[in-house]
Amino acid sequence: MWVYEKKLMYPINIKRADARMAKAVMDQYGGPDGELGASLRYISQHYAMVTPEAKAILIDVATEELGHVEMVATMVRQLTKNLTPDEVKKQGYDAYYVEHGLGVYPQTGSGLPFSALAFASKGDPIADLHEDMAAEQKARATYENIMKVCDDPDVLEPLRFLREREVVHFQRFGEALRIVQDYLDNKKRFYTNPKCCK
Amino acid sequence: MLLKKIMELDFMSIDLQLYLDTHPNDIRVLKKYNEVVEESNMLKKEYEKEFGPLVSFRNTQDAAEKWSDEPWPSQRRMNLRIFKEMR
Repeated sequence: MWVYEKKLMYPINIKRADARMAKAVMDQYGGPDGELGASLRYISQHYAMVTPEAKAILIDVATEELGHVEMVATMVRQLTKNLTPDEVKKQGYDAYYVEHGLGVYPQTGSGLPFSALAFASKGDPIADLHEDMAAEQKARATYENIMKVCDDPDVLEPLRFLREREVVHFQRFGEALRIVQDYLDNKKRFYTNPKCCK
Repeated sequence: MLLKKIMELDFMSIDLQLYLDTHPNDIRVLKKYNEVVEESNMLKKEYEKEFGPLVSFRNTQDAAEKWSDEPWPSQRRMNLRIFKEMR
């Protein structure tokens, strides 16, 4: 099970409301390379994973990603909390506002609701770990895109932290992949769905 | 500040745990991990005495400092003081 810690993984204190920035950051909440999808991907994949090391890294990274979900949602909240109706209109936030008010809803930056179609769980350890490594790189690239359109240091600091975590996770998944490949080699198994090779 | 220190230590323990997941035989890092977790646990006890529970379902609480008390982590005032110290 999970427990909740009443603190953020990294502090967030955004003073200036900015609806455009909120939409950009929202992409990492409910978008295809976002933290929610990342967490659900790793939780789902961990059940059919082989080797204790790879199972551990999946559940631990998934847990950290839940902390990142909280961080990006907090950023969206702080970026929109004090918006006036006038700012909502001027900053192109009105369509979102009609549906969700100033609430936080998992969707892409361009308005598509969160979808599990953005990730996979193949039950094949090699396929899954390759996807995880690609996912971390895509998330890193997305953070870099958000940072390019961001000029508020209050927003940039947590983004920089989150981007760096993607790099660390990529490294760990790469190590897990090698452990799993060695394991499958030893067992004289093929790189396909293990159930089929018994 | 207590919470900032706890956040730093917990970040270290997360990062070290991820490393240990794929390097389970690295005794040097395991030792470091244990030191970090022990120091964080000590500070958490201190913090909880003053500000109430930090972790859900895992600690006793008294009537004065309740789990439901604000601020919750998404609120700016929870992060304001920590952030000032970081600059």
